[in-house]
Amino acid sequence: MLRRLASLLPQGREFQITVFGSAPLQIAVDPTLTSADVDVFSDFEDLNDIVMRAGLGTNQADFYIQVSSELNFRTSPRWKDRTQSARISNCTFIFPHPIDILIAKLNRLDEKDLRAFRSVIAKTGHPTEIELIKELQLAVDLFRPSFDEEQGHDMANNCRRLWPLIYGREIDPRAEIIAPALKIRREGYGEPVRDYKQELRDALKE
Amino acid sequence: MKPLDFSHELNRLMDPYWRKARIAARLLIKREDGQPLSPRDRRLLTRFATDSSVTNRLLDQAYCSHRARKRNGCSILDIIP
Repeated sequence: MLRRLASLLPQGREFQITVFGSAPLQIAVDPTLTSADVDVFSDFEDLNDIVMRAGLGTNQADFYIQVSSELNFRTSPRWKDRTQSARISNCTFIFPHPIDILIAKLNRLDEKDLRAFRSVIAKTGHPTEIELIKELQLAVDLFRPSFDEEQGHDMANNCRRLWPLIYGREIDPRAEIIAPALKIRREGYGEPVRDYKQELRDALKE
Repeated sequence: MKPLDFSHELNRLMDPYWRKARIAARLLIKREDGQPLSPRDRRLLTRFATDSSVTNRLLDQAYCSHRARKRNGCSILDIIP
Protein backbone atom coordinates (compact mmCIF):
# COMPACT_ATOMS: atom_id res chain seq x y z
CA MET A 1 0.00 0.00 0.00
CA LEU A 2 2.80 2.45 0.92
CA ARG A 3 4.67 1.59 -2.31
CA ARG A 4 1.50 2.28 -4.25
CA LEU A 5 1.05 5.56 -2.41
CA ALA A 6 4.65 6.58 -3.15
CA SER A 7 4.20 5.81 -6.84
CA LEU A 8 1.25 8.21 -6.99
CA LEU A 9 3.21 11.22 -5.79
CA PRO A 10 4.53 13.81 -8.26
CA GLN A 11 8.16 13.42 -9.24
CA GLY A 12 10.77 16.13 -8.91
CA ARG A 13 10.36 16.95 -5.23
CA GLU A 14 10.68 15.23 -1.90
CA PHE A 15 7.78 14.15 0.30
CA GLN A 16 7.53 13.11 3.91
CA ILE A 17 4.56 11.12 5.12
CA THR A 18 4.06 9.97 8.71
CA VAL A 19 2.27 6.68 9.24
CA PHE A 20 0.50 6.25 12.56
CA GLY A 21 -2.29 4.11 14.03
CA SER A 22 -1.86 0.35 13.87
CA ALA A 23 0.16 0.22 10.65
CA PRO A 24 3.61 0.89 12.20
CA LEU A 25 2.94 -1.83 14.79
CA GLN A 26 1.82 -4.21 12.08
CA ILE A 27 4.99 -3.53 10.09
CA ALA A 28 7.49 -3.50 12.95
CA VAL A 29 6.07 -5.67 15.72
CA ASP A 30 3.17 -7.96 14.90
CA PRO A 31 1.87 -8.64 11.36
CA THR A 32 -1.43 -9.84 12.79
CA LEU A 33 -2.26 -6.37 14.15
CA THR A 34 -4.19 -5.59 11.02
CA SER A 35 -6.48 -2.66 10.45
CA ALA A 36 -8.90 -1.59 7.72
CA ASP A 37 -6.97 1.59 7.09
CA VAL A 38 -3.53 3.12 7.06
CA ASP A 39 -3.52 6.43 8.94
CA VAL A 40 -1.16 9.00 7.49
CA PHE A 41 -0.48 12.70 7.65
CA SER A 42 1.82 14.96 5.72
CA ASP A 43 2.57 18.61 5.03
CA PHE A 44 1.77 17.86 1.38
CA GLU A 45 -1.63 19.52 0.97
CA ASP A 46 -2.70 17.56 -2.09
CA LEU A 47 -2.12 14.15 -0.55
CA ASN A 48 -5.79 13.52 0.15
CA ASP A 49 -6.77 14.48 -3.41
CA ILE A 50 -4.16 12.12 -4.83
CA VAL A 51 -5.35 9.28 -2.60
CA MET A 52 -8.98 9.85 -3.52
CA ARG A 53 -8.23 10.12 -7.25
CA ALA A 54 -6.43 6.77 -7.06
CA GLY A 55 -9.45 5.19 -5.38
CA LEU A 56 -7.49 4.41 -2.21
CA GLY A 57 -9.38 6.68 0.16
CA THR A 58 -12.08 6.22 2.77
CA ASN A 59 -15.16 4.41 1.37
CA GLN A 60 -13.26 3.62 -1.81
CA ALA A 61 -11.39 0.45 -0.93
CA ASP A 62 -11.59 -2.39 1.60
CA PHE A 63 -8.11 -1.51 2.76
CA TYR A 64 -7.86 2.24 2.49
CA ILE A 65 -5.64 5.19 3.30
CA GLN A 66 -7.00 7.66 5.84
CA VAL A 67 -5.32 11.01 5.33
CA SER A 68 -5.46 12.81 8.67
CA SER A 69 -3.77 15.71 10.36
CA GLU A 70 -0.84 15.72 12.75
CA LEU A 71 -3.43 16.90 15.29
CA ASN A 72 -4.99 13.44 15.16
CA PHE A 73 -1.82 11.81 16.43
CA ARG A 74 -2.11 12.72 20.10
CA THR A 75 0.88 11.26 21.80
CA SER A 76 4.10 12.03 23.65
CA PRO A 77 5.87 15.30 22.81
CA ARG A 78 9.01 13.18 22.36
CA TRP A 79 7.67 11.20 19.45
CA LYS A 80 9.65 12.99 16.72
CA ASP A 81 12.93 12.15 18.47
CA ARG A 82 12.54 8.40 18.11
CA THR A 83 11.07 7.55 14.75
CA GLN A 84 12.22 5.15 12.08
CA SER A 85 11.99 6.01 8.44
CA ALA A 86 11.89 4.17 5.16
CA ARG A 87 12.46 5.72 1.79
CA ILE A 88 10.48 4.67 -1.26
CA SER A 89 11.32 6.60 -4.42
CA ASN A 90 11.04 10.32 -3.58
CA CYS A 91 9.01 9.79 -0.44
CA THR A 92 10.23 9.23 3.12
CA PHE A 93 7.75 7.39 5.31
CA ILE A 94 8.11 8.13 9.01
CA PHE A 95 7.12 5.45 11.51
CA PRO A 96 6.74 6.53 15.14
CA HIS A 97 8.14 4.34 17.90
CA PRO A 98 5.70 1.70 19.24
CA ILE A 99 5.56 3.47 22.64
CA ASP A 100 4.20 6.58 20.92
CA ILE A 101 1.66 4.54 18.98
CA LEU A 102 0.53 2.91 22.23
CA ILE A 103 0.27 6.24 24.07
CA ALA A 104 -1.89 7.54 21.23
CA LYS A 105 -4.06 4.43 21.53
CA LEU A 106 -4.53 5.11 25.23
CA ASN A 107 -6.66 8.14 24.32
CA ARG A 108 -9.39 5.80 23.17
CA LEU A 109 -8.46 2.33 24.45
CA ASP A 110 -10.96 0.21 22.57
CA GLU A 111 -10.65 -3.58 22.60
CA LYS A 112 -8.47 -3.32 19.50
CA ASP A 113 -6.16 -0.87 21.27
CA LEU A 114 -5.88 -3.19 24.26
CA ARG A 115 -4.88 -5.97 21.92
CA ALA A 116 -2.12 -3.74 20.56
CA PHE A 117 -0.78 -3.22 24.11
CA ARG A 118 -0.85 -6.95 24.81
CA SER A 119 0.79 -7.82 21.53
CA VAL A 120 3.60 -5.24 21.74
CA ILE A 121 4.43 -6.22 25.32
CA ALA A 122 4.33 -9.95 24.48
CA LYS A 123 6.64 -9.49 21.49
CA THR A 124 9.10 -6.95 22.86
CA GLY A 125 8.79 -6.98 26.65
CA HIS A 126 8.18 -3.23 26.51
CA PRO A 127 6.90 -0.92 27.76
CA THR A 128 7.39 -2.14 31.29
CA GLU A 129 5.16 -0.61 33.91
CA ILE A 130 7.91 1.77 35.04
CA GLU A 131 8.68 2.77 31.45
CA LEU A 132 5.04 3.51 30.68
CA ILE A 133 4.55 5.56 33.86
CA LYS A 134 7.63 7.64 33.01
CA GLU A 135 6.49 8.15 29.44
CA LEU A 136 3.00 9.15 30.54
CA GLN A 137 4.46 11.63 33.01
CA LEU A 138 6.34 13.23 30.13
CA ALA A 139 3.07 13.36 28.20
CA VAL A 140 1.07 14.67 31.15
CA ASP A 141 -0.79 17.27 29.10
CA LEU A 142 -2.71 14.45 27.44
CA PHE A 143 -4.45 14.05 30.80
CA ARG A 144 -6.02 17.51 30.66
CA PRO A 145 -9.81 17.68 30.33
CA SER A 146 -11.17 17.89 26.79
CA PHE A 147 -12.48 21.07 25.21
CA ASP A 148 -16.25 21.54 25.20
CA GLU A 149 -16.21 21.20 21.42
CA GLU A 150 -14.65 17.74 21.31
CA GLN A 151 -15.70 14.27 22.22
CA GLY A 152 -13.81 13.71 25.40
CA HIS A 153 -11.17 11.06 25.98
CA ASP A 154 -10.39 10.32 29.57
CA MET A 155 -6.74 9.29 29.74
CA ALA A 156 -6.82 8.89 33.51
CA ASN A 157 -9.79 6.57 33.35
CA ASN A 158 -8.26 4.64 30.47
CA CYS A 159 -5.12 4.14 32.56
CA ARG A 160 -7.29 2.79 35.36
CA ARG A 161 -8.79 0.35 32.86
CA LEU A 162 -5.48 -0.61 31.28
CA TRP A 163 -3.38 -1.26 34.35
CA PRO A 164 -5.18 -4.28 35.86
CA LEU A 165 -5.45 -5.90 32.44
CA ILE A 166 -1.84 -5.40 31.44
CA TYR A 167 0.15 -5.00 34.64
CA GLY A 168 -2.12 -6.85 37.06
CA ARG A 169 -2.69 -4.08 39.59
CA GLU A 170 -4.80 -0.99 40.16
CA ILE A 171 -3.28 2.41 39.48
CA ASP A 172 -4.12 5.89 40.73
CA PRO A 173 -3.11 8.01 37.69
CA ARG A 174 -3.46 11.24 39.64
CA ALA A 175 -0.99 10.13 42.33
CA GLU A 176 1.43 8.10 40.18
CA ILE A 177 1.46 9.99 36.88
CA ILE A 178 -0.05 13.47 37.04
CA ALA A 179 1.12 14.76 40.44
CA PRO A 180 4.80 13.71 40.01
CA ALA A 181 4.89 15.22 36.51
CA LEU A 182 3.43 18.51 37.70
CA LYS A 183 5.92 18.58 40.56
CA ILE A 184 8.81 18.19 38.11
CA ARG A 185 7.33 20.95 35.94
CA ARG A 186 6.89 23.31 38.89
CA GLU A 187 10.48 22.75 39.96
CA GLY A 188 11.63 23.49 36.42
CA TYR A 189 9.82 26.83 36.43
CA GLY A 190 11.74 27.78 39.54
CA GLU A 191 8.69 28.99 41.46
CA PRO A 192 10.09 30.91 44.44
CA VAL A 193 9.19 29.89 47.97
CA ARG A 194 9.77 33.38 49.25
CA ASP A 195 6.93 35.92 49.01
CA TYR A 196 8.76 38.98 47.68
CA LYS A 197 5.51 40.68 46.80
CA GLN A 198 4.44 40.61 50.45
CA GLU A 199 7.87 41.94 51.44
CA LEU A 200 7.27 44.95 49.19
CA ARG A 201 4.01 45.60 51.00
CA ASP A 202 5.66 45.09 54.40
CA ALA A 203 8.37 47.58 53.54
CA LEU A 204 5.73 50.23 52.97
CA LYS A 205 4.32 49.76 56.48
CA GLU A 206 7.65 50.44 58.17
CA MET B 1 0.57 50.16 31.86
CA LYS B 2 1.31 53.08 29.57
CA PRO B 3 2.75 52.24 26.16
CA LEU B 4 6.52 52.40 26.31
CA ASP B 5 8.46 55.12 24.63
CA PHE B 6 10.88 53.16 22.50
CA SER B 7 12.87 56.27 21.64
CA HIS B 8 14.57 55.70 25.01
CA GLU B 9 17.44 53.28 24.53
CA LEU B 10 16.81 51.48 27.81
CA ASN B 11 13.27 50.64 26.77
CA ARG B 12 14.59 49.10 23.61
CA LEU B 13 17.31 47.17 25.37
CA MET B 14 15.48 45.79 28.36
CA ASP B 15 12.17 44.06 28.90
CA PRO B 16 10.04 46.55 30.92
CA TYR B 17 8.74 43.91 33.35
CA TRP B 18 12.22 42.65 34.05
CA ARG B 19 13.41 46.20 34.54
CA LYS B 20 10.70 46.96 37.09
CA ALA B 21 11.44 43.71 38.92
CA ARG B 22 15.12 44.60 39.11
CA ILE B 23 14.36 48.01 40.60
CA ALA B 24 11.95 46.44 43.10
CA ALA B 25 14.53 43.80 44.05
CA ARG B 26 17.13 46.53 44.62
CA LEU B 27 14.73 48.21 47.03
CA LEU B 28 14.25 44.94 48.92
CA ILE B 29 18.00 44.46 49.17
CA LYS B 30 18.38 48.04 50.36
CA ARG B 31 15.84 47.33 53.09
CA GLU B 32 17.59 44.07 54.05
CA ASP B 33 20.91 45.90 54.29
CA GLY B 34 19.32 48.32 56.76
CA GLN B 35 19.61 51.37 54.55
CA PRO B 36 16.87 54.00 54.90
CA LEU B 37 14.33 54.22 52.11
CA SER B 38 13.96 57.65 50.51
CA PRO B 39 10.57 59.15 49.64
CA ARG B 40 11.27 58.20 46.03
CA ASP B 41 11.96 54.59 47.07
CA ARG B 42 8.66 54.53 48.92
CA ARG B 43 6.80 55.90 45.91
CA LEU B 44 8.30 53.16 43.77
CA LEU B 45 7.52 50.51 46.39
CA THR B 46 3.87 51.62 46.42
CA ARG B 47 3.77 51.32 42.68
CA PHE B 48 5.49 47.91 42.45
CA ALA B 49 3.51 46.40 45.33
CA THR B 50 0.30 46.89 43.36
CA ASP B 51 1.69 46.34 39.86
CA SER B 52 0.51 42.89 38.70
CA SER B 53 3.32 42.70 36.15
CA VAL B 54 5.88 42.68 38.96
CA THR B 55 5.45 39.02 39.76
CA ASN B 56 6.96 37.01 42.56
CA ARG B 57 8.83 34.89 40.01
CA LEU B 58 10.46 37.92 38.34
CA LEU B 59 11.25 39.44 41.73
CA ASP B 60 12.97 36.21 42.75
CA GLN B 61 15.06 36.16 39.58
CA ALA B 62 15.96 39.83 39.97
CA TYR B 63 16.84 39.40 43.65
CA CYS B 64 19.09 36.42 42.90
CA SER B 65 20.66 38.30 40.00
CA HIS B 66 21.53 41.31 42.20
CA ARG B 67 22.85 39.12 45.00
CA ALA B 68 24.98 37.10 42.57
CA ARG B 69 26.28 40.30 41.06
CA LYS B 70 27.27 41.56 44.51
CA ARG B 71 29.12 38.32 45.17
CA ASN B 72 30.67 37.72 41.78
CA GLY B 73 31.02 41.16 40.21
CA CYS B 74 29.44 42.55 37.08
CA SER B 75 28.13 40.08 34.59
CA ILE B 76 28.87 40.48 30.92
CA LEU B 77 25.12 40.17 30.44
CA ASP B 78 24.36 43.22 32.59
CA ILE B 79 22.91 46.09 30.64
CA ILE B 80 22.63 48.62 33.43
CA PRO B 81 26.08 49.60 34.70
